[in-house]
Amino acid sequence: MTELFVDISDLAVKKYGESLCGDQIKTARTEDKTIIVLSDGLGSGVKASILATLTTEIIIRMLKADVGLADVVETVIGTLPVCKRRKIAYSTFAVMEILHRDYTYKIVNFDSPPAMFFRQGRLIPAERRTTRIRERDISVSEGQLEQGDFVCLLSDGVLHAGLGVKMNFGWGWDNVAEHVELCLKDEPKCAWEVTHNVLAETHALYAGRPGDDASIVGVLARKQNRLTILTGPPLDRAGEGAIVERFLESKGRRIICGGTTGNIVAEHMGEEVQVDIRSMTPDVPPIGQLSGVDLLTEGIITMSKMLELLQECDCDAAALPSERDAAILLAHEILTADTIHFIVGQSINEYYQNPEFSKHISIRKNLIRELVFLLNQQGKHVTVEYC
Amino acid sequence: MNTKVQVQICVGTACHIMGAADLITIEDLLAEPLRERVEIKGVTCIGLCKDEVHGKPPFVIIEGQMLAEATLDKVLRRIEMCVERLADRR
Repeated sequence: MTELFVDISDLAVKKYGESLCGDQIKTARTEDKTIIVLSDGLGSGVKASILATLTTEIIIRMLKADVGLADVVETVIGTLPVCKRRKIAYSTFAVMEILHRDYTYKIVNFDSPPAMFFRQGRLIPAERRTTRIRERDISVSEGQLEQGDFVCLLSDGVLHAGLGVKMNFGWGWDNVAEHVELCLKDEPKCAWEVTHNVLAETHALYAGRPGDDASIVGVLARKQNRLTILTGPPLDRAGEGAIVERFLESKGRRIICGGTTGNIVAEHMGEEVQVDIRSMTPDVPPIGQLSGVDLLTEGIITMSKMLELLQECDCDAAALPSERDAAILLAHEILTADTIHFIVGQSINEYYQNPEFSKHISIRKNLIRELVFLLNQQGKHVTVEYC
Repeated sequence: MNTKVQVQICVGTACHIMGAADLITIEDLLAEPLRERVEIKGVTCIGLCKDEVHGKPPFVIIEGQMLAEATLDKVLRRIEMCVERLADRR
């Protein structure tokens, strides 16, 4: 079975004139599963936002604690207040749960628009069954994700886009699905490309003044992009060989950040690092080349610069500078990866403590810690081992 | 036997901070006849900064001879010396 990565992108626009969005989306990844919840609070503004937040929080917490989906739904429906006048619950929701072991999924819709499922770029009519929980109809669909599958969860604000502005009845489920199919024709690399496109169209159909909160979650099942970064010479010189071998045998892309580290690996391979001095800039040392290694850079300066770049571009690869120095290439590699493993050597070059240096370059550990925090926020799976 | 003067500029962390980025422009400063007789390469950290006995970075190795606290001027003069020496040997 191909190792898949469940790439999730969620975006929302709030109703024109409101300060808070009444749609709330939350995602969580545990060791065993990925959970996505989209909730639409009745109406808009503060009350809708609070109700939707409560709904997503309760569902996420219970699912993370491994409570069964049916029990979670029963609890939430039993807890949600019902509008006395309209006799409908104060918030609707859609939940998607994906098991990592075999990528089987389950989608539950409670009064929310049915999820859309696309395989090989085409909309597949989902087999939905309806169950009754606490006298309310719940729609459930199940299946197994394959590479390239795309799933869309939406709030009704997307379906109603254009209502009374550019269309008599709004955009509608079928037309949205057709638009997603168009987006999928270009074989998007990430889910964001689709969600961004759909929400931009939603905004345009509302003529820039959305009449409702509108939100979308895109789930793209794609090949897992793995990356291993070896940085810093290990404390124990005797153990170097084993670490180098493990690094060179790691799956996916391999990067070395550190000249001395590069030399250690090169020596182990009986090769020499070739430095491309033309790639050097006043701020960033040059790129090196070594067989079996996808990128070789200097360590601390390049990684610090790369962290600065990620912060400046808000982790959006499209916003990175177009030049080709080591820090920019490193930032691209990191943003493309889903799973990143750092092997951090703790040997310190005493000379780096030198007060002549304008910035403190000795603290590799702190830099890694800051980087890991940022990457975790981006939903990347990051592991670190020190040696 | 290599007929060109071999220049290796260390581009490790300490050398970069202490000025190696300037040193790689040396090729542009060499007069035309000299340029053809010199081969300039970048090398990853050569480890000389770890031990103070070698002096301070940036380090450049010219024809196997280490040059500490290298500046464009120092490197240029050393290259000229080596080119002359190579010419004499022929």
